[in-house]
Amino acid sequence: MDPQVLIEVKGLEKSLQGRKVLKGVDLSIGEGEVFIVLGRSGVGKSVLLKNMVGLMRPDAGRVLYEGKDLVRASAEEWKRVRREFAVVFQHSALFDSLSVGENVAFGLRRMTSLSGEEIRQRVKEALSLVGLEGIEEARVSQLSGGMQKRVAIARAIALRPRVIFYDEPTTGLDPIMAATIAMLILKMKKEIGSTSFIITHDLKLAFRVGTTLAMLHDGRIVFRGTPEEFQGCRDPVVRKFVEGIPD
Amino acid sequence: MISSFLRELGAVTILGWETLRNLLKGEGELGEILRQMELIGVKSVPVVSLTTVFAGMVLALNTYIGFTRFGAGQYTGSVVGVALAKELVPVLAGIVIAGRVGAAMAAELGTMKVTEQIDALYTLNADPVAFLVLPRTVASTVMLPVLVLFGDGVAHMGAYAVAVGLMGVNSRLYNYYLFTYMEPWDIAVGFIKAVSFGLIIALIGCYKGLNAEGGAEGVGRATTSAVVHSSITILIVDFIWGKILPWTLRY
Repeated sequence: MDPQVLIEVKGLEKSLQGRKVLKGVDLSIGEGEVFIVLGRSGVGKSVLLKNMVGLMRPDAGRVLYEGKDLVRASAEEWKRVRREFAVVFQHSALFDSLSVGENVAFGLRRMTSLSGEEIRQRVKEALSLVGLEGIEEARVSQLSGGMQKRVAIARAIALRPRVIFYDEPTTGLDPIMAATIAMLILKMKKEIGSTSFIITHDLKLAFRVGTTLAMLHDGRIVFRGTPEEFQGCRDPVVRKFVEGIPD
Repeated sequence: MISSFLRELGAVTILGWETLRNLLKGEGELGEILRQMELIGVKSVPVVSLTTVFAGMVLALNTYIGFTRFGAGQYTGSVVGVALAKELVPVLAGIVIAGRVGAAMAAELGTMKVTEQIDALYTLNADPVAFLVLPRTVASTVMLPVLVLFGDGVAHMGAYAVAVGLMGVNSRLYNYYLFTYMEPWDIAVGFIKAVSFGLIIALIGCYKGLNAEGGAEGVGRATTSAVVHSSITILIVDFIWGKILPWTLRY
């Protein structure tokens, strides 16, 4: 049985610099799913994510969260929704003027009424969940790419969000760190019960953590199914992507 | 080119309005404003001192040389005093701060833009205008007039040293003509100009940074453009003030 639908994307269109990047994307993401959108570089995966979290406004179409259209949501409504959304950016996007602890605490200070002591505790827990205890005072520039990614995940989960959006979470990481991030994504789902929406071109990650896979190609979703269905799919676009056949 | 200038002028004005709106709502963290005041004000003291002391010295030297041609060398203090307070110190300090601070703002915010830190602020319910632009704008608008007042003092010391110490103008005559012909309004005009220059530097620097695109190259473009546009705008606004202030202040 399909889980209860949490987010629906209907007929999403977006053009950038005169080029139509998204030509009518349709998706539905169930509560508790780890939903993966696969696709080649430059196909518009990040544009799709940015339209879903309100960083871009689509030219046409709707993004429904619990049935409410976010495209037409007011600034106040977005503020409420953002308390339930967290985004892990491709390059981590940690604030380099702040320490690690201040980065993780940033959203908590702005979006919750927790006391200073409660925030410190929550920061400690979040860093512990990603295996980085005791680095609250470190500067972001002192961390490796993998550690920065884990701090970015800690910043996201500190808010205990309902949905975590990951933009290329394993890009630029070595295979062991990529596997660590994959395990973390599963751990987050188990520990805090979040729904995950991941855009990536990393097939290993998709098969390791995904419950539903979709493929974006030429501005549209050309496949949606389980990892097993994806592997068995005979569609030439999907086969080319899975087998890494050059143009 | 004109349409692009007008578009940018409109966008910077909107950013200024957004900043004011956030200020009136009580947004902006005091700690960050104070940190920016230190970065913009205190840390600019050496560069402003150097610029203004040499401006004072060279102005005194050339004024004296020119005035002695018709036997008016003792009037050096009067012209130097007025020119430094009304024009040279505010404009030079503005241009130097545009190079030091405006460039830093564009580079910092531009880097934040291309590394998605600005997007991260939005997703964490932090408005970049309130969080980044407001503290920089307040700090720059408050600190530039302070730097200009300081620069006035330093420039006058440089001018006095050259006129009296080097060129041999009588010390009492120099001071007499300086204080007879220089009015408080001359300093007020420089102060008013400095407030507007501080606002211009911060808003253009932040606007260029927030609109940087295309990685390191884009940040470089934003930084250069922030300095060039701020400096040109300072000179244009200086002229506009030069026309408006005598009429509004009736001096």
